[in-house]
Amino acid sequence: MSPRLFRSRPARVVPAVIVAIVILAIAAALGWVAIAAIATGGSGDSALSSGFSGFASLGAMTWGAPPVITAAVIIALLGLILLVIGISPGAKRNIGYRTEAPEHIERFEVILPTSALASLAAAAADSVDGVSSVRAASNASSTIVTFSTPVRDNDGIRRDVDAAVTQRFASIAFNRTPTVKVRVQRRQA
Amino acid sequence: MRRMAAGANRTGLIIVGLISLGAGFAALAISFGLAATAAPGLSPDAQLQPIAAVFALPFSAGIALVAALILAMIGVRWLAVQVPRKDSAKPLRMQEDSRSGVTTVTANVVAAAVEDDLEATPEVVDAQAILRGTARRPELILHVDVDERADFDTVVADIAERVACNCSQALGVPLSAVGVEIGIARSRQRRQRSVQL
Repeated sequence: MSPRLFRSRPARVVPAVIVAIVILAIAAALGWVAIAAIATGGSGDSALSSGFSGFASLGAMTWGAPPVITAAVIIALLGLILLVIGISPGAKRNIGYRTEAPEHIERFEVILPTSALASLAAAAADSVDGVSSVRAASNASSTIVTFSTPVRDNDGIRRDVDAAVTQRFASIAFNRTPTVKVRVQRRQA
Repeated sequence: MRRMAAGANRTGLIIVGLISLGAGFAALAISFGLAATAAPGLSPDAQLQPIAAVFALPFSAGIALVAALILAMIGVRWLAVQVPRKDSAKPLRMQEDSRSGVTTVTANVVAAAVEDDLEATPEVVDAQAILRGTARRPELILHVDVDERADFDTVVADIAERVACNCSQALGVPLSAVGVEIGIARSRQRRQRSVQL
């Protein structure tokens, strides 16, 4: 089986960019201190501590000191968070669509991103009478539609919206049809 | 449909995570006196002087400069691979026999033709195509933005029967894979398409 044509799990771009920038910042700070030390020493064999006086006070601290413990806890927690982000697969962002490949295609794959699912549900809900505005959020298995209406007795509208979205989803051959949940917000027009 | 550096990101995050987790736990173990049994000098009331002394060694500034450069290179490389890649096919060699001349077709030309063909489908508002693979085993990756009230079966059938068939005929081989990502066209102006009385 060749790799799938679309990646359905997040690529962790944002955490990677943040960590890369932090690495760059550490590199810049280290380089700055090193150049300052070489500049004050005037030769290549100068010690790093001559460029930055903080190392002396660092050496005077004990391992049990509160700042050391705090820093260790923070570093360990950050490491744990990064590890979890790296290992956990993350939420699926695609939903599969059932198709059959014609003979001139060996492998045919059709997918919908969950964002498309949400706008599809919002569009279906928007066509119902009595709805003034719609928001929809979706993951791979369920869609939540929130609509607002000025009508006080809105049970009927809620049922209509539910039916409209469910029917729209049923008309599409998903591998697994997402469940629909409808919420109402009453708002004066 | 463009490719992200997901594998590199996850590997990098796991490595950085493991290093920080290990360093943090090691420091905590010393701070709470757990390491004193293994190494007698590392008790909670010992000073951090041995670590600070490393920075006072001769040549440590030069070594730190080299380490800074290596770290900077890692950071810049990692940032650079975040740019999404199209990974289009290399120019396709279409000739039977290279002694009588070489015929090459760039992947972008085929992709642009496929995009135009896709937009001929009435429900499709916008389309992007990428051709990957080789002339013998072409892969087509498509992204279509369809109208929010479109019938998906019609659109998918049209792509499979007409667009993919045209592309496969143009290339002269069956397509080894076709991937379609369906998006919903941001209803440009929902009000423009409705009539108010």
